[in-house]
Amino acid sequence: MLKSLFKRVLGFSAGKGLKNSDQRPPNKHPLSDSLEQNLTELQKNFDLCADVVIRKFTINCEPPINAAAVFIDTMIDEKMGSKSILGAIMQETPSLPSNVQITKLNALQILKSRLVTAMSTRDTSDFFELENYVLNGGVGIVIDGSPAALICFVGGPQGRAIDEPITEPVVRGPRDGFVEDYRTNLSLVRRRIKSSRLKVELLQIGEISKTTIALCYVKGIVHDKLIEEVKTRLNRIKADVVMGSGTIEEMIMDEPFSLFPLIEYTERPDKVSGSLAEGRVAIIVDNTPMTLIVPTTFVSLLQASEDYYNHFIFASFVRSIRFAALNIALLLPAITVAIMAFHQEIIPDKLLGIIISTRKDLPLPIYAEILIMEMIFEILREAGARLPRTIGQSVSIVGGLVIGQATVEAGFVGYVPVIVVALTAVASFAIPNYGAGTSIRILRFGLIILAALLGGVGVMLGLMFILFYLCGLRSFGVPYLSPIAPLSPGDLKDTFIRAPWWAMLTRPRFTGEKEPVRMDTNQGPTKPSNEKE
Amino acid sequence: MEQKVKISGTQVAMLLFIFVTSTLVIYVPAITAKDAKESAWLAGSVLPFAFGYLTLRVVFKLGSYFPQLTIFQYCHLIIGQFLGKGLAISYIIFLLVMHVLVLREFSDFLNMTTLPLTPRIWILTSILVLATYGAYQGLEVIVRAVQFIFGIYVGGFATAILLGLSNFEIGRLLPFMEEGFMPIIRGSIVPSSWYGEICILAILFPFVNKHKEIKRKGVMALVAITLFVIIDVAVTIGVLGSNLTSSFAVPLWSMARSIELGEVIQRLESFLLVFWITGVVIKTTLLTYLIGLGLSQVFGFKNIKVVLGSMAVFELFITNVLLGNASQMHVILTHFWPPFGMVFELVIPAFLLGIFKLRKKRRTNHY
Repeated sequence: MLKSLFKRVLGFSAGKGLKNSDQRPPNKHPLSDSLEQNLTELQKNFDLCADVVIRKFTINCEPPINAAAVFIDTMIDEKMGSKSILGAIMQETPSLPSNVQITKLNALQILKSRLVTAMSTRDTSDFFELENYVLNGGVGIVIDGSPAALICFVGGPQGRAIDEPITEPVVRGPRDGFVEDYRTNLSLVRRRIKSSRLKVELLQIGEISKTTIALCYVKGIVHDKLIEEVKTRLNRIKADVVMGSGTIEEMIMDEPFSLFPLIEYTERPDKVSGSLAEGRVAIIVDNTPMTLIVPTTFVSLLQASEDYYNHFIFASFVRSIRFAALNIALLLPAITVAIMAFHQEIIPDKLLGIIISTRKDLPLPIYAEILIMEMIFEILREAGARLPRTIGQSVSIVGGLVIGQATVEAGFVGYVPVIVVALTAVASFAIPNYGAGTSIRILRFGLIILAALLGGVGVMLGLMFILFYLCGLRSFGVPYLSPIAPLSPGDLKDTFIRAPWWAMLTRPRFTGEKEPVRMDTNQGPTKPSNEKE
Repeated sequence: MEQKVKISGTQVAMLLFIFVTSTLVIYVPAITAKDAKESAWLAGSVLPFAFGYLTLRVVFKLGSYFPQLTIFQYCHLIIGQFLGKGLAISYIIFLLVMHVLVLREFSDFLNMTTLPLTPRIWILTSILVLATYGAYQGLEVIVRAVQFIFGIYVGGFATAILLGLSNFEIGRLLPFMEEGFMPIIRGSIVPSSWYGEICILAILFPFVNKHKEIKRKGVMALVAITLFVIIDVAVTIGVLGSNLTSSFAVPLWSMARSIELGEVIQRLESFLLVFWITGVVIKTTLLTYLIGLGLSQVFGFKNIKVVLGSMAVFELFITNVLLGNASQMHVILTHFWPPFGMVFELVIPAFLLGIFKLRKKRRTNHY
């Protein structure tokens, strides 16, 4: 009883399910034979929708048949529609062979197979399906006397051009990134995996938004259970609007309260194709360039596309730097507090002298200083994110410098916290995955508090807590910390180092088990054979 | 808690290694050096290894007769319902005592060294919260965490020992076996009971994937533990000398304190302490899990959260209130724990094995 009261106060329960009539349309409503009836019904449904056009025309035949085209003029390419649909129907009917007579019964068939030159067509006899297609950018042709309607697809609405992905730029490697239209995104993936084994399944999620979701996987590599699980979870989503992939991510995650990202998202098609080849599933969401990749593990937080285009020695070096940056971003403030408050004996003598002399007249204990500076930097970072890019960066830098410098000069805070916080902020930018960056920011505060309470021991206890938490996480059945724990030594070649391409013989064990071998052996460098001269 | 968890032989070996060595290496040099003086490294390794090997054989044999059951479950199959339940309960008490001693050792260690002004109850609470959380997550999580920290744990000790070699003088390890065998045997009684903690394999047996692997991996773990102890004790005596080693409460800590390389690396003991703690955390977590498992198997408790929570509070009470000060702890560890431990680690499983074999023979003799 207390739990239900709690839920009601916080707004968690909203009665039993979606109730609005718009959200639960009645089942099948077949089109009627009469054009007038269909049109009145369409006009009633699309009443006050100023961008829906109902264009009546007549098919040239003996006797002439009335028809109408229903479309949304902002969602189609009008020139192409005029040429391939209306132009084809209204002007090409005389060119039909003389033995073909258009009657009310076969009008739809003849239009579809002989007259309309649009590249893809569909027919439907259900009213709501017709509405759905029109809302998705199709041109619906309703013919008098025919219980079915023809739908043609001619071009799409204006969209962003393919551009460099903003969040994941590379120095060496392809620079095309996903855009909002899912068809363009699909084409970007298709051109990288030109195999008929790349399957694409479409779903529509969201009662009002009816967002199209494309599920991509390579059949034969992916576990069938994984595909089934993803489809089950996606079909379970009953929301009204799906804004972006973040909504879907939260609804299909394994652990809804997880701090760490359990589903990866990316703007880069090469990352998606690489993951598909490893046996993972990609979820392309319409109206957002962020594509979801499932399942994901902890090591993906350290991986960036650039690693695979640079030389493997350099890539391994960069990965170790990223790992060190991850540690610094998480631990540096906490370790500073622990050392300066509890374990001062570790600091070498000369450094200790400097620290003592600078900290002599400071009012606050070290943990308070670090907490305050961290808070200020988080506020600055959040403020900078909201402003346009050019101003935002200068605000962050200037704000940081000015505030930092001013507080130090005024004597509120010492130099050490400012340096530590700045180093931490820089290190956290070295982590490729933004979701991991956010979770680390949160965990950092917890560790600072633990360090203030129990010193180095507290930090280690906090880290063990995080470790126990991470070890229990699973992402669609794959343990989150694999391949480190449970240990699968063959997969370690792509975690902290990046093995050369000729050594990457097998796919990662948990996702690619069905077809483990991906590359032929003996492609590594060999010395020229010593031929007997 | 009864999920069908399957862990591999390697994971069990790593788990046992960390379980046994985490409290072993900190106290063993002092206790063995008191009796065996310079031969302490021999005292702490050869005879205890034999004891541990014997325990391993007995426990493995018993477990192979009942491959799907833990010792709590097959006790009453061997010696009858009433006695069996009683024996299972006494095993739970044994684990509880081990757990309480570990907790008390840990908090004393921290109180003496790095956190002198922290009230004991806060240290105990924080580690118990962590242990309960880990136990609640289950055996799979504990084992994965072990795999993750194994390298860090061994690396931490290796760093301490390697850096401590800078003050090492092999002359301090002589004279060797000055007073004959008796001091060595006297000094190896306490470590034997600690090596015998490998008997928890009796409870972990049904969770392992391939049972035949356990024997081999268990022996590997024992050998690793022995090597670890030899190096640890030898280096500690080599750096501090046997007199100091026996007088310090925690000699490894003092040895780490003596490390000074150049002007930058000095007084690293707090830093190294942090790596050692990971091992103790794993030990506490595993013990909490085993006690919870035992309670739910013997008494049939369903709600594991309540069991673990109340047990944590109970142990907090015992550790904080019932056990006295550090010298009393020392007496307990050196005089009362070894016989108590050895009975439960070797004697009782051997007893069970003997009875089981007799019953089998009697049954086959009948038909």
